[in-house]
Amino acid sequence: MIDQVLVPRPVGRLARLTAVLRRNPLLTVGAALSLIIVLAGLFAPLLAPHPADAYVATHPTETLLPPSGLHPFGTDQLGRDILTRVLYGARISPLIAVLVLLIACAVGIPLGIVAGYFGGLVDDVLMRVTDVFLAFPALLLALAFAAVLSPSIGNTTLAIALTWWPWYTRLVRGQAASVAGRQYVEAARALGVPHVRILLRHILPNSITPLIVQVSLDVSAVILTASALSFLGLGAQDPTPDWGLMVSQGQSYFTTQWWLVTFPGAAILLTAVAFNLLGDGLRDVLDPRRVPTR
Amino acid sequence: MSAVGPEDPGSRPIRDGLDHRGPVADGSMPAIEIHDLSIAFGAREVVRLEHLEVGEGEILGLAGESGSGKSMTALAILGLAPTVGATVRGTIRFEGRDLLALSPRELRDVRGRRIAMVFQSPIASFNPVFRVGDLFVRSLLLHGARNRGEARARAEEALRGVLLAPDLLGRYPHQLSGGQAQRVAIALALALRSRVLLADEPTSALDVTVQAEILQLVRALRDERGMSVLFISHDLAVVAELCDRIAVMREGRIVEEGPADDVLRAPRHEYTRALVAAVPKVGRIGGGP
Repeated sequence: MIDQVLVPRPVGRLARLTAVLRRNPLLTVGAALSLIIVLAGLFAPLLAPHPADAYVATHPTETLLPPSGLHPFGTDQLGRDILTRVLYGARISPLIAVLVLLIACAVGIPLGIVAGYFGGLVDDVLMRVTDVFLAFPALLLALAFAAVLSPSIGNTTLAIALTWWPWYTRLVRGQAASVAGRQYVEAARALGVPHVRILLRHILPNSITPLIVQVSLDVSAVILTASALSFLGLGAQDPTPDWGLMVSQGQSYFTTQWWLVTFPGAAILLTAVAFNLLGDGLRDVLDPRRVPTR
Repeated sequence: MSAVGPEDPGSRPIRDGLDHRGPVADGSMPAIEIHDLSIAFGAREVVRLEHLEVGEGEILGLAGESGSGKSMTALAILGLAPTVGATVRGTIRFEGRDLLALSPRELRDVRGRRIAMVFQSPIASFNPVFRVGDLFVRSLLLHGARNRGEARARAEEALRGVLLAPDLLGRYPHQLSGGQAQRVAIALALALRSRVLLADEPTSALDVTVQAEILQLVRALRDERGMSVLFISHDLAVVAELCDRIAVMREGRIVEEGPADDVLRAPRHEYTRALVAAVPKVGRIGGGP
């Protein structure tokens, strides 16, 4: 028939992925950057010039040295090698960010799609609970949680996640409510598809795109929030080579010793950019309409 | 899931959707029989039907202007009117049961499997993120196919049944034309072996040549598979061409009902007369006034 001539051959998922990678160099860059960060964290003990400086060692005679061959990123106020600490930091800060965002998504997405799809009373109850969480300033709420839970990285993660999910619920709920009115959802109901499956197969994939972008933008925000908690003594504690903590501790030296803040800050920036590009590319892969079919 | 296994005795189909029988003569049990149906949004009643039936193997045209309650009636048959906020009372008999009295689970078994629905904008009826084949396989697994292989085979057979190439299964909805998408929607009803097709303005979004193809297809389904069809349209020309009987709705009530030729040739109600007069007089409208 005529139809056969006009239409491209169906493309496999893997083939589509490579096609997307080829067509979308930014995604490739994002994936490469993410890989570099993961590898830096994994191989920190091998890559770091002064592994001992990551935690306990201090060098009172070598404080605040500018970048040099021996200390490529300089040293901090306790004489620790900043390159070493930035490399070890790749084990902590991105992990906190990823965990916070995973928990926030795990709580926020289900509540959002359920509220948006069912509407009515379910929607009202869920969204008022969400509003209560949103009504508190996020940092204050995280502080309160962190104070109750005793300071540690795990608890910081939990505390931030608890303030993060309501935003995602809001975002997803709005999308889900608009998708719920589409004709294909009605068609699915007319086919006798159960609610759970409509939620998972129709509402979720069609309302998730803005969230993916938001999550990828939030990576740096989470790292900075974690550092704010550390700064206030409620997150990662001093010898821990957390990037946010290094930035906040280096602040007072910024005008005279720029390297204390700059390198961990650049690491945060790099992580944020990497996840951003990744998120953008992921959106393209997930949405078949955005892939041109030659 | 629930779809497999023997059907409860009350829902014994009168015949398998597969056997190829022509239209059934009058006198057999109607496929769908509506009594005293009332659909309301709050205090406002939008549909009030005393009696309406779709005969076995019959194509019943439900005509009328927008807002006359045609689509709500179709939604009510599938038990979907409450999802848009309406309250429904009355009885809708189908295969010996009252559809309005079924549990949500029993209703889900009827939907798609026994009664299928086709909507106005064909492409918007498909979830954009899944391939056509995926839609078929999942729907068929939900409604009685034993495994993916069998589902796939039934899907391909159904596509051939609507004169489409089976390789369409690998495409995404946005890669289909409007006419193709509507055929696919009908093919799904075919693959599910539904006995009744509710077609809600299935041709309104299509251009005229494609319209004619879809109408031909619906007629063929009835002639070859004995499907009963409730065909909803505001376009009397389309209804006239396709349907055995016509019911004209206005403001939620049926103002006139009868064999298509009679209604079109000698409309008794002034509203029907106005509708008939509004049809452009080119082609096959029952001999003309």
